[in-house]
Amino acid sequence: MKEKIIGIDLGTTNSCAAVLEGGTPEIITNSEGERITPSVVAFSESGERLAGRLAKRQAITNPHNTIASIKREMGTDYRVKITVDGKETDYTAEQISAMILQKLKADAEAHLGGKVTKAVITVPAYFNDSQRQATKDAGAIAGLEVMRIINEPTAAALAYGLDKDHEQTILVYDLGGGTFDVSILEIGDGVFDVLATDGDTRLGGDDFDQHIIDWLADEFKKDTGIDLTSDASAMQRLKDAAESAKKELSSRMETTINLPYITADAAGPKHLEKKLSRAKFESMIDDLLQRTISVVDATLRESGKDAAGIDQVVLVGGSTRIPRVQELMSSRIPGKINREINPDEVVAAGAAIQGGILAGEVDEIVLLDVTPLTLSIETLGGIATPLIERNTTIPTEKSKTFTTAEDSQPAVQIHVVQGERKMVSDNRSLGTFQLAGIPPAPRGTPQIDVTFNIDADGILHVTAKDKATNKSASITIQDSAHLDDSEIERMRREAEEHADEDKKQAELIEVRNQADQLMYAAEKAMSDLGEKVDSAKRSEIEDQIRQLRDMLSKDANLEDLKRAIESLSKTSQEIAQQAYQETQQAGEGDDGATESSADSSTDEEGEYIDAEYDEKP
Amino acid sequence: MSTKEKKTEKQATVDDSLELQTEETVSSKLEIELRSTVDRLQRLQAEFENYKKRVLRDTAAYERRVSDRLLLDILPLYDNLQRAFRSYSSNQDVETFVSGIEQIFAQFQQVLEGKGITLIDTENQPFDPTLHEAMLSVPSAIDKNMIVEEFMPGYLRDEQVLRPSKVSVSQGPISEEESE
Repeated sequence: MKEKIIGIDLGTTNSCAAVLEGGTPEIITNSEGERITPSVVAFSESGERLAGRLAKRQAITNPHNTIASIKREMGTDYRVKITVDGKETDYTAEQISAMILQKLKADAEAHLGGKVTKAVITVPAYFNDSQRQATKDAGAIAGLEVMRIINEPTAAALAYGLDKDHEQTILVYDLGGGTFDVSILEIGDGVFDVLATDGDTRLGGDDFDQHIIDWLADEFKKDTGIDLTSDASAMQRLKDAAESAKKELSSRMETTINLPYITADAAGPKHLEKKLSRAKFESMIDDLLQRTISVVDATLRESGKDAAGIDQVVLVGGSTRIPRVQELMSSRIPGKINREINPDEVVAAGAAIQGGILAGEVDEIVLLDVTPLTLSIETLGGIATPLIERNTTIPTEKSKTFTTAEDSQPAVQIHVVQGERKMVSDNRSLGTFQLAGIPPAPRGTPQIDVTFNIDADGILHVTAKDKATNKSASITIQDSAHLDDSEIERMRREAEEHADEDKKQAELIEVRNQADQLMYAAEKAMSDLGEKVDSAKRSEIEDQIRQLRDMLSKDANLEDLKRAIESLSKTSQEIAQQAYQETQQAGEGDDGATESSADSSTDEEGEYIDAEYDEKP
Repeated sequence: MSTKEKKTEKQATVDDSLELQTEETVSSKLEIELRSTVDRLQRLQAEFENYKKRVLRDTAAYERRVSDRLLLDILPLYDNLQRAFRSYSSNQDVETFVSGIEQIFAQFQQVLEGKGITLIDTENQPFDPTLHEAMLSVPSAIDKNMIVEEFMPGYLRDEQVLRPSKVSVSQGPISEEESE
């Protein structure tokens, strides 16, 4: 196996590493079980070196020998002075960064179970040559051969596969924990060109938390007259609560911050309970968000593009999970917004892809397509029965066994459809063909294997084969995988909107099919049993069948149908049992009698393909 | 012998064409083989992709089941708290209310113990970043780097840190050196 090249997002606040596995980037979990690692390094009293989470935990007790945000010093002649046991040592920014890289390297080696010596490291687009060289040197110190330094926004675009599309202009909006960057890139023929980049090195998610903390402390003071800001323990609880409230408001419209026993005065313990709505939170941070938008505007001006000239927007950094950020961006720039990949991990993922390209791994792997929509065939009652679910990677092959819906049905019609709706009529028809020459048999008996085979080019071959005769028929559909995006999107949206009613309709049809099967089985049982059924029971069953048939023709509702089915099924079972007992008493085994017991409500195996009568020549 | 020579000559041309033919059949056979191998590779790769998707779905379902199980352990505590409040609002008896809450608390502890959770000791302990998180560094009469106060308790689960204790740490008796 070729040696893996890992991708590293060496961030100001946090870092993240990823590696390409089977063609897709996987984030490497660190030894603390986390997917991101704080970019913090420390030297303990005893001279022990700490990196990541542990270094961060002890930062307050050891401020002089703990280094955070070293990225801001890369490429300068800044020296970190560390004193251990009275001995002072100077470290360059490269050396400190190397300690973070070493931690990431060790975690990657544990993850992959082997040596890691090569990496792709990302840097901000605004980094100059000496800053890039410093990053490369840091890698070398850590024992990593830096195969390439790439821009963070470029990595994000790679993660979304935007290099594979046609020529386009992309805006990357990166709002992290403590820094904010905007970059405008032009991509053509897989080459990335940074048109403009701008940002604010002191703006990020931590500022949003601080706004919530300030608000909580203010409100508490208003309510109780107690100032929490001088109480370290209370402030710590406010900080944790503020961060989780912020996160919660990304998925909810309102959250309650509940901190019992936050403090106490002469009158006894005090509790903090505050509701924070998303709207209120948005208004709190509006000034900060507007600042990011003005940076976006400035970057646009510098690039010589206007908003309409941006084809796609990529959101990076945890703070872009805030719905207001997404709203502001989509109202400012009409291009498509990409935010499906975890914004904390997207840069590392892109770096891993670059690593895979350099390792030749991506070349080896033929990039495989997926089926954008579910492929199904029509079964009894116009239901679309799926064979290949949407988002399945191709080439692939799936088979299912079907049967006939009528006695002596000579042919089945295979109708291939595409889409997410439950009913065939709501989906897109791809083609039909017929499998004829099925020998006469009672319905439900023939076994017809239907196979969907999509090749790597997205061409769908559908084959139907009668198991008894080995007769088969097939059809080839050229464009099953190639719909334009807007059409796929429309079909998916429709499916979501209609999910409930579709489900109800499908259930109704299923019950109607069940009724149909049951009537058929009951009638067959009666004719098979003949005189063995007493006349009272016979007329009872005939009545029930008539009623059920009547209901079906009048489009009765689901509940009524279910009740009628239940009573017919019960009577059918009774006659079967009665006949069986009589046979037992007569001491003669008659296969037909038991087999035709009319409990046919669950025939899970074969689904019924719509009856198709073909006049025999 | 001339006839024989001719014969061999003829033989040679036949052999040549035969060779050419076999070469052709070999190369077309190779082509077919290559095509089927590529197809097999692609299908294997697609299957792997689909397998990964399934694993992702299965993992999500599994995670849900795991958290369901945890919730089932916690729900009885919730029920009991509700009982306690209901009883208090009907009889206003503080004493039985407090003893009830104490019992629910003991039950809660039992649940946590059952999960292998133990408290991280901070009393008279030196600060250790693998167990504790420093919130404050304060001048104090106790030794440098010892824990002064616990702001929030931390927990271990089967020897692994579930949540570090949040503590203040001693700078030693009055700092000689002012921090910037």
